[in-house]
Amino acid sequence: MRYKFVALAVFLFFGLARAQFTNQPLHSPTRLEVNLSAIPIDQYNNTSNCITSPNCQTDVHYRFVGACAYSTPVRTCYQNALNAYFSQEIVTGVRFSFGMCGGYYSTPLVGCGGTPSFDPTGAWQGKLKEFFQDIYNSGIRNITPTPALQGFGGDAGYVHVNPAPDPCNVHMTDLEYWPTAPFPFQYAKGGMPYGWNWNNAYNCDTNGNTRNFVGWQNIYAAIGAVLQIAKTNSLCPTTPNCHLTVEEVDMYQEFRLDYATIFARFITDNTHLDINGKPENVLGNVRTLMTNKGYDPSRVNYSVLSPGSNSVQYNCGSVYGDYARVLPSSELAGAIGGGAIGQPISQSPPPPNPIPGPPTTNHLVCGGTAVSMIGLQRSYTEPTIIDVHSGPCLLDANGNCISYPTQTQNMAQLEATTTFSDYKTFLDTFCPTGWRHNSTQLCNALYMQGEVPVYQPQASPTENKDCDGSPISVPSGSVQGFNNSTLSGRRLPDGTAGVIFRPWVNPVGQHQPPPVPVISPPPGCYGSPQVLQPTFVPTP
Amino acid sequence: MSKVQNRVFILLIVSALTSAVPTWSQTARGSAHIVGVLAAEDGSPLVSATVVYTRLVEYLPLVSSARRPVEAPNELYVHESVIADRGGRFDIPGLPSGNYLLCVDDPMGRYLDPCKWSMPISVGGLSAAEVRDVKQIHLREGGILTIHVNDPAALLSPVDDLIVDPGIIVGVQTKAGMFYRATQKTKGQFGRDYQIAVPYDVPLGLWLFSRTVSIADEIGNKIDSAGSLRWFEMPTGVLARTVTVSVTGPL
Repeated sequence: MRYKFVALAVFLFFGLARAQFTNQPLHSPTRLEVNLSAIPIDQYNNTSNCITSPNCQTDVHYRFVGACAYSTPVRTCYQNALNAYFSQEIVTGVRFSFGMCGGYYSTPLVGCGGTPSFDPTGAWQGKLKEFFQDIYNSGIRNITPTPALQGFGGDAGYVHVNPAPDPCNVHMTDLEYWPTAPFPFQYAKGGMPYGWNWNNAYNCDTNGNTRNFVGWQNIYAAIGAVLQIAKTNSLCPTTPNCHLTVEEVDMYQEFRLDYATIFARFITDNTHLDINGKPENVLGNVRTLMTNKGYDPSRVNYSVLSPGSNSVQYNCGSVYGDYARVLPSSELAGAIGGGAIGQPISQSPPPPNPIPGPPTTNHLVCGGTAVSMIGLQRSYTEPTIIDVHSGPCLLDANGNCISYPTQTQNMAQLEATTTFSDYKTFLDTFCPTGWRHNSTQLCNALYMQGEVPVYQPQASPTENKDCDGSPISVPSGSVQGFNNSTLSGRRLPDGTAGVIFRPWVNPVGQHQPPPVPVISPPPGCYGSPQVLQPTFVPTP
Repeated sequence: MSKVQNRVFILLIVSALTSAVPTWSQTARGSAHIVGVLAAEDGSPLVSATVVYTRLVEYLPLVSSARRPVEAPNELYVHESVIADRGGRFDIPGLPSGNYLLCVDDPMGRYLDPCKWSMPISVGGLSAAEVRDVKQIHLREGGILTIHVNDPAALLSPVDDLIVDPGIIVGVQTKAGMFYRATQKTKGQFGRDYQIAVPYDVPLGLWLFSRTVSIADEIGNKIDSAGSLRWFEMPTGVLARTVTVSVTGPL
């Protein structure tokens, strides 16, 4: 009886607490999009939603779309979700990722690990076209394709080597090689790239990936096909100029150039040289693909993960002269613009550093010098978009979000306000009146909040976490914080919305084929479609 | 100083004044030392070179869908520098136990950083409170390559920025693709000098790149500013060599 009372009290407390979140519409002008995560393109016209039949009825792990009924065809699952997102949730764009070598049922490249080639039968392209038709027919017009170049589980040609060569002498020899990445990653260490935390990794890893890399031409072929299909009139043959707008190509999810300079090979690959010795111009070539298909080349981009602090509204300057909360964006802009990347050297003499983690102040990498940072061979005009992934929250000493209810909506809001305002300051430095005044592209860039948590509590009410693990106060706090920030009200030069919120609403069942791994969030945690309101109500 | 820089600076000062600054005894992260002497190949000491030291951090195996690598318990990042004294001696104090890599930056530009041109100096298994003497670290001498860039129309940006290049990227590339930028040593309104120490008798490409200006060599031939590699070797014993290029106009 006593336990029942406690359970009831807990339920009432948290139920009421959730009801107390203040939800505001996103300040005008702001658009809304959604993340659909990995699309099982190979299985897009599968007549059922079952990956394997025996357990599919009762276990969402065995469904392609975890939140969709087992008997519903895959395509119908997506059609229903897309239609609802457009008509009920005011969603104007979708981001989706796709495996390259069979990972999560997407195989634009066959023969990975052997003799790779791009979609020889056209089957993958045909199904992708169906998916694009469904996006178009829903009324949604904007897409952000994201190739999974590190791969999902299930990619053909994946190789695990232990011990592998260690050309940088950084004591990393248990490595995995993904066929669409030009360098190895550390096996069982969070998928961190080789040379993590070593600024010279971009240079000293001269081995790159000679084991199974499919070659840039194959990767370009797959990306080019995505752009071609998005552009083609066959999406709706009777309508002139019918196409989807490629709003962004997210070439790599959550770049970390501060800790892993080797990621810069997705911009300029120095392990693949032409006959004259010049490095592969990856960003330039993907931009050319965009231009050739009639899209804006400055929308080829790399998303970043924004850091937070364990001190309310704490701010400090980074080595770049920007706020440290935007450090990953400074690093990306530095890589593209011809500046410096990598970790700054801490001020000398070394400051006390009692907290495990990077040499930080309140978890932010403040100041330092650029002595050991490196630069790439080329520079580019900056993109006209920045894509930031974050769920603004106050961190604990270990760098994790403080849990709800300690993490109040107000606490999350204060952090969000600080971070969003810091981004506004960052972008303004590139404007004619800013101290850099050297990039009209970034001055006028679209701010894409490319991933942000949505209010969808996990099944366990005592954890008070949303499906992605963030405290349940964060989504409403993020919106409120944005509305209170200087970024609110941003417009592009043509007067359209300068900010887009793109909540993470991953509907898939799993990322790996059975046997089912332990994954988080639980498959089926999100709805398909996921209800976005009242947390996310855009005002275009 | 701009408004933004001012604001950041003020924030730094305010935060420094208002933060509860723990005492050293409370926050000491370790008491190990790495000591040694920087020397040329003939044993003569290197004066005022900078030792950059980095601790190799251990991480936990992949857990669930963590969005960042998770450090093993009590792991500490260390990425700092000390300057060697007039005798080439250096002493890195206050280190936690662990594995370290050392690089050396010679401000005079004569000696080659082992991290760039060979292998970092590895200091493995430093234990708590240990004083590890790595003895003499011998650095190879290189030749200094100077690239003088004439800029008669002042087309290169005067702004030193870590994000956007000034209009030209200058460096050397190896046959294997390693690339090191030359350091800007002097800057005037109508020209600037870049320098880099390079190893002897190694095929290297002088890399010049610009997306905003056209560049010509000493005799006026246009260089492909979208990425030009001119292969050369610095012969043993040549102390310095200068290459002059000119900015001839906007692209």
